[in-house]
Amino acid sequence: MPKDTGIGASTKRREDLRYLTGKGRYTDDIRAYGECAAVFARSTVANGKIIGIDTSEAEKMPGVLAVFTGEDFVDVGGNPAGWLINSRNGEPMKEPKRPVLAHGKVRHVGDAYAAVIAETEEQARDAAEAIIADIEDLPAIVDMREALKDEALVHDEIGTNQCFDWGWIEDNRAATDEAIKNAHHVTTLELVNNRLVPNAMEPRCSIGSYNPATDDYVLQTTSQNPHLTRLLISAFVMGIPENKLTVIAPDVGGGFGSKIYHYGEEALVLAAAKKLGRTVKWTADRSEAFLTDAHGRDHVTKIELAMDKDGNFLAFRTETMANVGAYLSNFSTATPTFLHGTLMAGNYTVPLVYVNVKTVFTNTAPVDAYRGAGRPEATYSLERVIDKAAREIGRDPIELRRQNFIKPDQYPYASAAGLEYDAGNYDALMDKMEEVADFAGFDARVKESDAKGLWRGRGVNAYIEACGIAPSNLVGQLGSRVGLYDAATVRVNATGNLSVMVGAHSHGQGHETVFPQVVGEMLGIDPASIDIVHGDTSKIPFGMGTYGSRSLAVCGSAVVRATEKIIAKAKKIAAHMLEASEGDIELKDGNFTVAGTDKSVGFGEVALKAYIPHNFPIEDIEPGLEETAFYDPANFTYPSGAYCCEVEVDPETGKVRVDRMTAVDDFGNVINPMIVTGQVHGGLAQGIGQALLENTHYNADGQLETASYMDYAMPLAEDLPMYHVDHSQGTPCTHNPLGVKGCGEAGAIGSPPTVVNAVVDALQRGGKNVTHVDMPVSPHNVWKAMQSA
Amino acid sequence: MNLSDSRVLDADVATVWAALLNKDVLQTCVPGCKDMTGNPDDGFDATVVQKVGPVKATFKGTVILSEMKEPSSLTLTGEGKGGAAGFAKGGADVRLEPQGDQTILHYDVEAKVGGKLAQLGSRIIDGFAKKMADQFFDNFQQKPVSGEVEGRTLLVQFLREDLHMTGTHVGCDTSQCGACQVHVNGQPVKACTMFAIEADGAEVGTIEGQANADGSLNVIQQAFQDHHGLQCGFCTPGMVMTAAALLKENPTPTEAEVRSYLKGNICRCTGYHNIVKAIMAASGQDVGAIAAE
Repeated sequence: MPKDTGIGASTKRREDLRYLTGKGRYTDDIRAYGECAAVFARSTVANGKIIGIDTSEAEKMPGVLAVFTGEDFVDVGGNPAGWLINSRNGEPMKEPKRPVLAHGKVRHVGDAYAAVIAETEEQARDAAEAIIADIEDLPAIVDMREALKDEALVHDEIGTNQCFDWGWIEDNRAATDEAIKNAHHVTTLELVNNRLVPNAMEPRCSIGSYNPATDDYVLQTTSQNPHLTRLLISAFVMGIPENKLTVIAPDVGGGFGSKIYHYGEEALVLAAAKKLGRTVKWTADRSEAFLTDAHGRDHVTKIELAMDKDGNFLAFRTETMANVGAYLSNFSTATPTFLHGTLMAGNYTVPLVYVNVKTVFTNTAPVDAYRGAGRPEATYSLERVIDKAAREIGRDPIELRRQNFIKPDQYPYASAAGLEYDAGNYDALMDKMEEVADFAGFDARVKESDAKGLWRGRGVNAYIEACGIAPSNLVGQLGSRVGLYDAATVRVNATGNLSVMVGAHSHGQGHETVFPQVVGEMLGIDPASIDIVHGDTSKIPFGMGTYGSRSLAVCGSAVVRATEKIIAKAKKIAAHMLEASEGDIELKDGNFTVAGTDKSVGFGEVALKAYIPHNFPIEDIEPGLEETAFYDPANFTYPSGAYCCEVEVDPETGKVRVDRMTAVDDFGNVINPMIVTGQVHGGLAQGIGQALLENTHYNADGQLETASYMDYAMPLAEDLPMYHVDHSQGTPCTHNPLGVKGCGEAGAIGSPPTVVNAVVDALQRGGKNVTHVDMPVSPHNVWKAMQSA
Repeated sequence: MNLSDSRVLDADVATVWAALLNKDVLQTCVPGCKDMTGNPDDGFDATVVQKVGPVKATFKGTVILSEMKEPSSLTLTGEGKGGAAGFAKGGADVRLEPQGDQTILHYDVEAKVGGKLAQLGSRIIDGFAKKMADQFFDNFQQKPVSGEVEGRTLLVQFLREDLHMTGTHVGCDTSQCGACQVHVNGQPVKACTMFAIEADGAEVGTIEGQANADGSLNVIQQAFQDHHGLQCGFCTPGMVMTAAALLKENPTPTEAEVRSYLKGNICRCTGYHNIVKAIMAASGQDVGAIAAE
C-alpha cells in the first residue's frame, strides 16, 4: 500500500473537492418541491409576561399558510437537559420547561413566541412583523450576583434563579478548607471567563417534511449530532416514534458545540410540515444566531492555591458562578460541573481539590458547551493562579509547574479531582515547548521590541483535558441521562468496495478521509475504495455525534472493532475457499494466505464469495460481509500540552499583539498529522480570540449589544500569527485500540491562559505591577490595568 | 465539416431551454457577437466580428430555430456572410437531456464554407469551428441566466434561490463575513451588498466557474487542498474568490499583504494559518520558510 495513505500519513482530504468547487450541500442549499418558509417572531425584551399575541393581521397577509404560537405547543414536551446534577444538599437541580415556543413568558431577547409559515421567506418575514405581541416588560435579570438574590425570577414556578449548588469533591471540602487555612502561602485570584458566541460560519437551518401516506417525518438540519436530536424529539419533545423520524445532517458549516443541541426551531418545522403537508424550511440569519445559538463559558470564579514553604501544591479551592442563561440547553448542566470540576487538579500531584459551582438562570441566551466546554474554564483558572503564585513567591513559572507535575512513572494516576489519568509526560512536553518556542532567542526579541517602544512578554501554560467522555457506566452514576458510546457498521459490498457507517458527524474534522485511512490500513486495501456514511439516522445504526474531541477515540474505536469482526469473518470465508484451517489464515496487504504456503485469495475475491455463497457451509458461515460494533470506552482520554505565547504590548495604547504562539500537544498516536495540525490551529485562533477580542455583552436591560460582526470581534487573519505546532511527544492512550486521545479542543483550552500570562509578564517587564487583566485583554482593559497599577 | 459533441451544463433543462431562446443570452454567448435582434419565432439577425486564421471580417447572419420540441430538442440553421471573406452556412441539431440538477447538451453541427474561408483549408476551419463551439458553450455555461427579481432581491439571493447556484454562501447580515464573495465584471464584490438588478448586464464570476475546463481544481483551489486551507468548507468559496482577486491585483503578496486583504473574510475553523499558506503557495512562493509546523 502506498505510504501516503495509511495510518500516520498526511493524506489530502477528499471532501475538499466538493467544498472548493461550490458543490458542498449544506442544509440551506437543499431545495424541495413545494417548499415553504418559516420565520420566527422573537422577543425584543429580556423578561416579559405575554398578555396576548394577536396573529389575525399576519394570517391575512399574502402567501401566509399558518401562524403558530406557544399555545399550539402546550401539550408538547419540553427540550430537556441531558445531565441531572444534584446540589450539595442532595436536592436535584431545578429543571424548568423549555417549550418549543415561549408560552406565558418570554425569557431572553430572541426567545421565539410565534412562527409564520408562508410561501416565501419574504412573505413570512413581512407577516411576522405584522404580529402584535402584547408583552408586559419586566425587570431583566442579567448579573449573576443580582440573580442569586432572587428578587425577580426568570422562572416563577421554581421559586429561585439558582439551578443547583454543586460541590466536588464534597468529601474533600473540610480538608481543603483546613489545608488552605494552615498553608505557608495562599495565592488568590478572582477572574471572569468571558461569555462567547460560537459563531459557526453557517447559521443554523432546519427543513421539516412529512409523508402522510406513511406517517414518516424527515428533518434535515445543521446538527453535529443527528441521533441525539432524533432521540430528544422522539422521547421528550414531540413523541414522534423514532422509527417514524429520520434526522439528516448533510454538510454542516462548523459547529464548535453550538450544533450539538436540539433547538425548538427543529420541532416547529416538523409540526408545520405535518399540519400543512408541505416541506418547511427555516434558515437563521446571523442576528438570530447571536440571539439564540447556545453561548459558551460565562463563569465568574474565585480560585485559591495553597502551597507549602517549598512551593509544593497543597490544595486548589474554587468558587464559581456559571451562567446557564434563560433555559437549560442539553449539556448545560454537565459543562460547568463534570467537564470543569473534574479537571481542577490539572497536571499536578496536588492532594486536595474542592470546587463549588452555583449555576444561575438569567434573562440571556442559553449557555452550553463551546469548544473545550468546562475544560478551558478549568485550565484558565488553574494556570492563571499558578502564574500569579510563582510571581508572589519569586519562583520561575515553569520550574514551579515542573516541581508539581505528575511524573511519567506515576501512571495510572488518580487525580485529586476524581479522574484516573492513564498516560502522559508533562516534562517532555515542556522540554519540547522550550525548544520549539525558541527560548534561546527570547532575550534578543525583548531588545528588538524595546527598540520599537513595545513591551514583550512571555507566558506559558500546561494543560490536561478529558476527551471521549465516557464510560457509560461512570457517566450514568454522575447523572448523565444518555450513554456515551459510539457505533459503526462496516459494509463490504460484493464488488469489494466498502461503505462505513459512523455515528460521529464530520463538519470540518475530515472523517471522510481519516476513517478510510484506518480501515484501509487494517484491511490492506486502498482507502479510495472506502466511503464514509455519516449524518443520516436512517443509514447508521446509532451514534452520539461529534463533540468533546471524541470522534476518533470513541467512534474510531467502534470502526476498528467492526473492521476486526470483518477480518475474522473474511478469514473464515478465505479458509473455506482455500480449504484450510481458519487459524492458519493470515491477512497481509489485502490478501488472505495460508500460513507458510503460497495459497492465497484476495480481499475482493472473499468479498464476492460472501455474497455469492455457492458451496458455502451455511451452518458455519452466514452469507454477506457486514459487521457492526458499539464501543463504550473504559475511561476518558487525557490529551495534555505545554504552550507558550509571546506578546508585544504597546504602552501608549494598551494594544496587544500576539507575536509567537507555540503549542506542543500530546494527542497519543496521530492518524493524519496534517488534519491534527489544522485542528490545533483552529483551536488556537478561538482561544486567542477569547483572550484578546471576543466578548458577549448584555446591557442592564438584557439587550445583547454584541449581536453582529460589527460589535462582536471575530478574530481576523490580521489579528493572528503563524503558529508553531508540534505533536511529536505523544504517549499513546492505554485503553483504546488506536492509542488516540483527541485533538479538536486542545488549542482553545491551552491558549487563553497562555496569552494572558504573557500580557501580565509584558506589563511587569514594563514596570507595571499588574497581576491580572480580565479577558478580553482589549486595549481598554490593558490601559485600565496600567493606570491602576 | 461535421462537429458533434456534448456538454454538461450546470442548470436544469428548463433553464437551459429558456436560455437557448433568449436573444440576450445568445448574444453574450456567441463569441464576437456585436448585435443580435429578433425572436425565436421569426429568427435572429446577428452581427459577429471574428478572425479566422488570417481572415478578419464582420459577418452578418441569420439564425432560424425549427423542429422545436420543448424542452428537449431543436434545430438551428444559419447563414453568415462576411463579404469578401466568404460565407458560412450550416445547421445544428441540439438535444437536451436531464441529469439530476444538470443538463447534458448534445449537438451535431454540419457546416459549409465558401470564399476565402474555404481557401483556408479544412484544418483551420475545423479548429475554428471547434473553438467557436467551445467558446459558445463555455460562455453559455457562464451565462445561462436571466430572470425577473423583486427590487429587494440581493445578488446572493438571486444566485442561490433563482439560479440554484448554492456555492456562494450567506454567513452574516452585515457584509462582514465574506462567504458570499463573487466577482462582478472582474472586481471582488460581496454578493450581499448588491441588489440583483444592479448586476443586470454584468459578468458575474462565482465559485462554480473557478475550476479548470476539465473539471480539475485550479491553482488556488489546489493550493487550498494541498495546504489544508479549509475545514468545514463554508467560508471556502468566498476565500477562494477573494484569493483570486488578490492574486490578480498582486501576484506575489507578502504574508502581511495576504492577511490584510483577507480582512473581509472570516473563517472560524482554520485559524487562517493554512489559508495564508495556501494563497502564498498559489502565488508560486515557497511557503516552507514562512511557517514552522
